[in-house]
Amino acid sequence: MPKYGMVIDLDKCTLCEACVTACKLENNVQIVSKEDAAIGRTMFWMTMLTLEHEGQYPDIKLKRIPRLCFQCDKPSCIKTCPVRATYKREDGIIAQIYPNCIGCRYCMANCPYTVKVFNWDRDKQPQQVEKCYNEDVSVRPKGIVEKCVFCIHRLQKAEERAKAEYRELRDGDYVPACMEVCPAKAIYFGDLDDPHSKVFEAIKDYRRFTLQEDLGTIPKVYYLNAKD
Amino acid sequence: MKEKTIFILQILTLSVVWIIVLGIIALFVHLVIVAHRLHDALTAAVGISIFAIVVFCIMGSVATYVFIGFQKDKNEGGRL
Amino acid sequence: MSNQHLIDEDEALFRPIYHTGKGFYILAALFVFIFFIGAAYYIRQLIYGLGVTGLNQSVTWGFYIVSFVFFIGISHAGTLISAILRLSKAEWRRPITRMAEVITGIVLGIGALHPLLDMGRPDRMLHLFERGRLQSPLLWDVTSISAYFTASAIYLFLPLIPDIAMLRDRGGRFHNLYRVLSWGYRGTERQKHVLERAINILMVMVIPIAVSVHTIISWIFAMTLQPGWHSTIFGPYFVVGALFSGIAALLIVMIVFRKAYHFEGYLKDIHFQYLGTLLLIMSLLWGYFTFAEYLTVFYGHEPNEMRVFLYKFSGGYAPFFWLMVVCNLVIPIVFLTNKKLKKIPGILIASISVLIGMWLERLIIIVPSLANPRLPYKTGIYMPSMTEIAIFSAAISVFALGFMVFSKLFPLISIWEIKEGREESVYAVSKRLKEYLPGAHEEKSVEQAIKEQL
Repeated sequence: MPKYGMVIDLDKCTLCEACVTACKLENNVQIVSKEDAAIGRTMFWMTMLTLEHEGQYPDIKLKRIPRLCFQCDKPSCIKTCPVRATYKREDGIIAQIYPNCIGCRYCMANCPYTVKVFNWDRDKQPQQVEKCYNEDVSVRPKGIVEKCVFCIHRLQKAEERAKAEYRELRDGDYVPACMEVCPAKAIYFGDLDDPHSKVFEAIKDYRRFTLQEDLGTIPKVYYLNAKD
Repeated sequence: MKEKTIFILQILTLSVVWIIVLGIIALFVHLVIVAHRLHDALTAAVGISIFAIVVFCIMGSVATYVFIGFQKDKNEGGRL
Repeated sequence: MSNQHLIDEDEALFRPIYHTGKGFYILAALFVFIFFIGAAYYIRQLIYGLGVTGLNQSVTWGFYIVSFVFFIGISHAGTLISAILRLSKAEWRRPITRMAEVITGIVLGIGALHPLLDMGRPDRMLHLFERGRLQSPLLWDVTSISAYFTASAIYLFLPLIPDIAMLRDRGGRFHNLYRVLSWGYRGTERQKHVLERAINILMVMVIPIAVSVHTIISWIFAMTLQPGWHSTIFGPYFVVGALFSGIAALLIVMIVFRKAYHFEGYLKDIHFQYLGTLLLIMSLLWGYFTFAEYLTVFYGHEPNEMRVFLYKFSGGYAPFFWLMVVCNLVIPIVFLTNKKLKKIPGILIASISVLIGMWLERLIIIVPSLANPRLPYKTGIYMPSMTEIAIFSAAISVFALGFMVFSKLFPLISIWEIKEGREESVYAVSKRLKEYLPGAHEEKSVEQAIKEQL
């Protein structure tokens, strides 16, 4: 069984936020109204997290990192779900079952990275957005919790294609949208257990770290950064 | 109302307790079966179920004990 | 011994059932009105979703969960206090146990509905039964609250039976209802014995269940990894807080109904003195737990914990935090240690302040931890919306209405226990007291002595 994981090379990242936009469009993540955004109800599966912010423009010292669901190996969110709306797949992806979710938001309260988002309202989307909905991904109703699932619909498609071509799934067949669009090629994705994959090479890097390592959640999204 | 109607209604009030107790037992057995089928936290399910079923059964028994105990002296002639 | 004579003696306790004043209807209408406003707001929430509340992405739990913990906390007034007092043979409990048990029954029902209000998809509520995971503390809660509700309902009903039988024998209104509910009780020796045994079993059982209920509610928070929540002290801390707010609620109810139904002859100054002392003890105990909880956080100085700590002490929630300290510690200590102030008005002020303070305590535990996640997000500020406030008011009116309806059906003070106290306890207590003292070697046990006396 593969174990999917991701590595983000912060030394390559240019903070262009192409991944944030791609994620939002790929997964039909709702664009919330201005009023909702003003009270902190914005919805992103992938977002830029400001870790450090010092000084005034132009002498500014900024440290921002792209943040998505870390697909923990020992996730705390699924333990508290009362209805099996979130579970760990055998390939390590923490999936969401939207029709099961009762909207109690316990998983949100127990995620140490606060990556889950709740559909507080279902606002009218701009016409252009409605036109380019991704048909592979459901549009979530109001009242349920959602999060990044490593573009799991792409895995299904890649598997089907590989099957049609009578071959095994190869490294690079299945990549999430954020990796695909990254202009700096800062994101690596693949099977962490496969010694021939690029991501296997990347996690051997000495610059590797994860967020909140001491919690023991064992995230499967790694960052690379030379300490400055 | 007749004595008999009253008695049937009294049994109904008692059976409310037992409906709850049996409902709880059915629910927990169901949850344990689901947990077993999905290999999902079976020990937690079994542990809590055993505890809950026993507690509810005791409560049902206490109510029944009172009900039956009262029936013997229900009519006139019992020792006051 | 003739029953008629005794019923006449306690006629004041039957009076509220048969006589209803004008004020009762006005108040009831007011509460029904408030309830309907809340219901209208809830229907609006059902249509528009949880967006009508003031919650946001990081502060995902707010008013509803605060009220949930608060109401379930108050429910400990009842069964737990009355069970402890019965168990410890405190004779002064007799006129207050019933009210305490009624509080439990009503408030537990209201509190248990709150998670439903908080659900994003209440239409999927049955998923909890169909595919519930018993590993989740929410399911533990469903279990323990339903156990507590069943236990306290039986524990309310059993000591009510002799009173229902008295009402049945008097005839009149709801005669058939009382005939059914009295379960054929006629006060024979055997029936009394059966009832006493059943109450004793339940009393012993209800205490661990009640403790488990609030411990498990605290575990909803303590089982997570959030700073400020992940604490081993939370179980006992919540139980102490629950008892604290429960006693305060009981005192308020006692003072209100003493005035409204003229129970002055039954709820005497001594009852308020004793319960007031109990409230003071719980206040100090609560203060001790709070101090222990925050001192360890402060001394450890772990950055994530400190962010929550400072948010409470000097940040956005500082006004609420310090108001809580004043309400829960300063006011009760001032009013309950001073002999001049420890009269019924002073105790009423202290109790109301404790209820406000305990509500704030739940708020201070829940919101700041969510508003300060481990990673540095920009979090919105949580302000409750009208919906949340209206539904909270509706919940309080339902509590008042429930109490008012109960008082019109059943006596609010346990009549048979008062009678029993008058007939048997005076003798039994003096007998018991003699047994405690040195030099008194009684051959007969207390029970035998009572039987002889009768």
